[in-house]
Amino acid sequence: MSQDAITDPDASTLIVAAEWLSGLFMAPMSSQQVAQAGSASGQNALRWIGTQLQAPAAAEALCDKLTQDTPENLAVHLQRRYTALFEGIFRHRAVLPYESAWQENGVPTLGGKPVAEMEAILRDLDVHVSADCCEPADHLAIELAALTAALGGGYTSVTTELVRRLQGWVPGFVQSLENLDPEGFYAGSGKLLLALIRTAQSVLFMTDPAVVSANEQCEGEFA
Amino acid sequence: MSKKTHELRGVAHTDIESPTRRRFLQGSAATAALSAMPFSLSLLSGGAMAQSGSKEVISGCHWGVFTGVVEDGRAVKFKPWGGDPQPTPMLEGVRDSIYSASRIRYPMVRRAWLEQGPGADPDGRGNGDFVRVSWDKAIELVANELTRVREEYGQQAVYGGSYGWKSPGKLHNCKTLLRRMLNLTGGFTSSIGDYSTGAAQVILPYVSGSIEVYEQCTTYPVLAEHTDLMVFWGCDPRNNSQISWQVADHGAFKGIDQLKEAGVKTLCIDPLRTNTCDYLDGEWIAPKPQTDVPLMLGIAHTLLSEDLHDQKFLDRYTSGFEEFRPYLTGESDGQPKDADWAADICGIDAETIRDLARRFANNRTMLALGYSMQRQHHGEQSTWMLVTLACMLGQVGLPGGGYGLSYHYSSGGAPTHNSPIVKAIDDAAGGGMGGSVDEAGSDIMIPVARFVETLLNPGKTMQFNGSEIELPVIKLAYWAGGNPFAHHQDRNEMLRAWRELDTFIVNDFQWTATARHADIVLPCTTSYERNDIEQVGDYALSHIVAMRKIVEPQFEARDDFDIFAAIADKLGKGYEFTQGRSEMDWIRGFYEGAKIEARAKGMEMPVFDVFWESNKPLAFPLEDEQKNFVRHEAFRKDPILNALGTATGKFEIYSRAIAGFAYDDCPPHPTWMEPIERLDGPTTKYPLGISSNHPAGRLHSQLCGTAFRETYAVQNREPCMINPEDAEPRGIKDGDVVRVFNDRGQILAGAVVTDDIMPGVIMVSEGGWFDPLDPREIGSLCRYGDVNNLTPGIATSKLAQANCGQTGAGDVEKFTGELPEVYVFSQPEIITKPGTSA
Repeated sequence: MSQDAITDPDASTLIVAAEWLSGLFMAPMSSQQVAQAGSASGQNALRWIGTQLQAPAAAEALCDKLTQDTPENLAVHLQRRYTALFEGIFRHRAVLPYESAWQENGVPTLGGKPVAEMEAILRDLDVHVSADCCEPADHLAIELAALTAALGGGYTSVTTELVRRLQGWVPGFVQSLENLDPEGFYAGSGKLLLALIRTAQSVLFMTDPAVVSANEQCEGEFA
Repeated sequence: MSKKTHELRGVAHTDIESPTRRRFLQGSAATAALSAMPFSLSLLSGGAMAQSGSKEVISGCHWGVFTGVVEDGRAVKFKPWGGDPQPTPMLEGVRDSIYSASRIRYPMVRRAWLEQGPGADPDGRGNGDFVRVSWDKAIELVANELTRVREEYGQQAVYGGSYGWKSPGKLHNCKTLLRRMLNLTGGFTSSIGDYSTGAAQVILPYVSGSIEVYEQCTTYPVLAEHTDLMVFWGCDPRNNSQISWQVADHGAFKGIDQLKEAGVKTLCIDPLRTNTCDYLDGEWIAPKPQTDVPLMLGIAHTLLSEDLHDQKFLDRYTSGFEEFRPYLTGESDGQPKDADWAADICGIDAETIRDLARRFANNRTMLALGYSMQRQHHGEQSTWMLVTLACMLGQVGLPGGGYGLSYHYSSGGAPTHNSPIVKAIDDAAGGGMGGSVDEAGSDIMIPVARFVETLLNPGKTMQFNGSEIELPVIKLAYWAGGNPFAHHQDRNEMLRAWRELDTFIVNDFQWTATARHADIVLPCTTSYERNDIEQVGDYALSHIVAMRKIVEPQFEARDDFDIFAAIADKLGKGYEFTQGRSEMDWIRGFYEGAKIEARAKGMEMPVFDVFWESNKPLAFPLEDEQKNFVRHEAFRKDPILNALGTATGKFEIYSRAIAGFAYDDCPPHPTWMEPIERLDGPTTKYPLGISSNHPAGRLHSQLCGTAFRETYAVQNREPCMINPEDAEPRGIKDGDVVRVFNDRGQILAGAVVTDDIMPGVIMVSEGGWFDPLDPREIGSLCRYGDVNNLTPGIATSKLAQANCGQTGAGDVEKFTGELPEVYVFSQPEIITKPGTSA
């Protein structure tokens, strides 16, 4: 495994964006988190991420949503949407934030092969899912956290693998969010997530020729 | 395995100072952006965990003994144990239950309840507006609410009747654990009886002196050797012996093979051509549902009129036949219950009925009765009449003759091994630890199927089995390991009743309809994520099996034991609940108890650690005496010394005790009583009888929320069997989605057009998950096909107050509207490429 660091300055953008999105998809936000995200500094951070990911409109839309009501009311709204979208309790099907649920072949399920594959990636990064985190390793938030660890640790090949994984299932996940909640906060966050993956690909494209063919294949599939 | 060394905090501000991080967060903008992050999570920790190797772990479940194949910490396959004579294909669904998309992942509280308090917006139950909370918060909410309800309304306002099939295991019996917690912390209202045999188990002690339905019957080897004619009357062991209350042994499959090899003639009396009938190439006779009592009376009348009955047996071993005889002959009411009379009601021609009587009498005949006939209005009568018929034939207690009431499921008739009994954790009632119901002076128990009636009629006096019950006010119900929104009848009446509750708490591992209608939902482990111990076979008791943990608990799920221990602890009874013992302490203790009993039987079991690590079930021997068991043989040999447990010590064809109750719906001898509705009933509005048999691909509602559903669902709906004669005029073709309806409710289902069901009857198996189109609307269309939207919530009678899940009539039409998606299984929408969906 290559230990060469990615030196492009965009890597810092990727880390910040991945961490922001990891937190967002991990659990519904509290009113305090909503307040912080909607504060001037929070909005600036979000706009900066959007700009860096070449998705300013997506970031601006999220900023708008974060200031449309009081943090308390917004937190209630977002908790409702989080439960409705990701738990799948009535109204519509679940949009499960797990890679296992988005395999093209076979019955959608939890705890599939991607869990074991992600466990292997975490071993490569010399980390493991924290004891107080009860999610399997193929949860979107953990895959994004692994991406930040890979970027931060200069694990180029692992970074490439993680981006490839995310490219494999996140577009479908985001499309489903957009179908069910087209103007919603989480669908908007999904657009930022796609922008993150695109940017990550472009970074990797410049640094690792081996990624070129994989990227082209993905673009062919999801263009 | 490397130890956790440090936190790689996903977004903590301190990370900015990390050398590896700092290298990339070079710009002040990035640093500022990170500082403004609203999240502070620690998803990853430093230090790799060693890769776990593959392993195979022995365990057991309602579907049998199996080996869980584990790779990288995931259960990838459940392999049937090599000693299983007929593994069920449902094992794949069992494995999938760990990972199904329906899994409850976190403690959840209904938003209205959380924000506005108990009883808020009861109509909103089921609409899915839940808030995810921490375990600490959830436990606190439950403990505080138990205290509030008890203080405001009294302990009887807490209902812990929690009925259901849960999972096997001597420790993690969640129903018992719930009652243990409630007993220790202040008492509750409980339930009595069950939904499977509610009528039979109440009337049979008056008739034969014991409940019989869960007791061993004459074994299959005896049947194979001695029986000429095996009559499966509403009885389908090949379907229902796929499962057991404990760990299934599947001994019935071996037994039925023995019948087949011996060439025993088989007769199946059922509206459906059953699996058992098909396998044995049996003769199929299909009476109209709910008319078995007239059919039995017609046979009995023929026996009497043709002097084929065994008067000596009736004289020596029964009491009350002379009181019954005038009813049978018509002397008492002017209507002889002869074959012609019976034919008009049940639809079987009179000559066939007379022929059945002659064949029964002239052959060694075993009458094997199922449960469906007593899950009907006046269901007590069918069981009583069958025993009466068997007494008239005079073969009770002879090898291969008489009647059997437990062949129907769980491999009744599979010989019982010489095994010790593994004890189980108790509910702490009367255990001297304080706070039990008895000690607190309240021991209210209501018949299990009358909970809805109780909610709707607090203060009402209910007759039940010779006693009176004043129905209590219930404000809190707690369910663990059950799914009343599947097993209770008349779903829409139930929804109305549920609005009387302030609080409904549910422990489960899947988002069943019951969990969806809860106020507080606590995610529990499946039995494959914890350790336990169980015996194999409800009747066979052939092995003790270690139910070893196969995978770690998923998501935030906790064991029921831990959940209830935490609640008890919050209420000051934590030690009393656990007795300071761990999971393995309890399991070891149960095993050691059995070891002592085995020693008394002359067998030496291995020490616990050897048993536990052996990774195979511990076998017990089968003695000839048990292999050749004949039910009621001892009574037949000496009816004085081995008297039955009835008032007279004999079979009671007339019960003075029941006569004393003077119930208008349960006379003192077997009687045909017209049900509220049935196929071609005199006042029945709808044209089709509805059967709601136990499903072939589930255990009641268990596994409905797994991938195994796809093996039988029709357009993702519960199948509805319908005869071509009924389908054709309605324009229904095999595979169509249909709407099944009556005045009580409406469901969608998938048509299975088949000659395996008699004309005039449809069959939708019970246990389909309730999926209302609009949860707030009473009477809303169920999108999946929960048949209990259509069945009545009435009681069988004042005697048993049992359910009538096999009573009902309705109609079917092809569904032509816009087909709503099924949402209850939470299955994700699959999009393989943006812009498309599968």
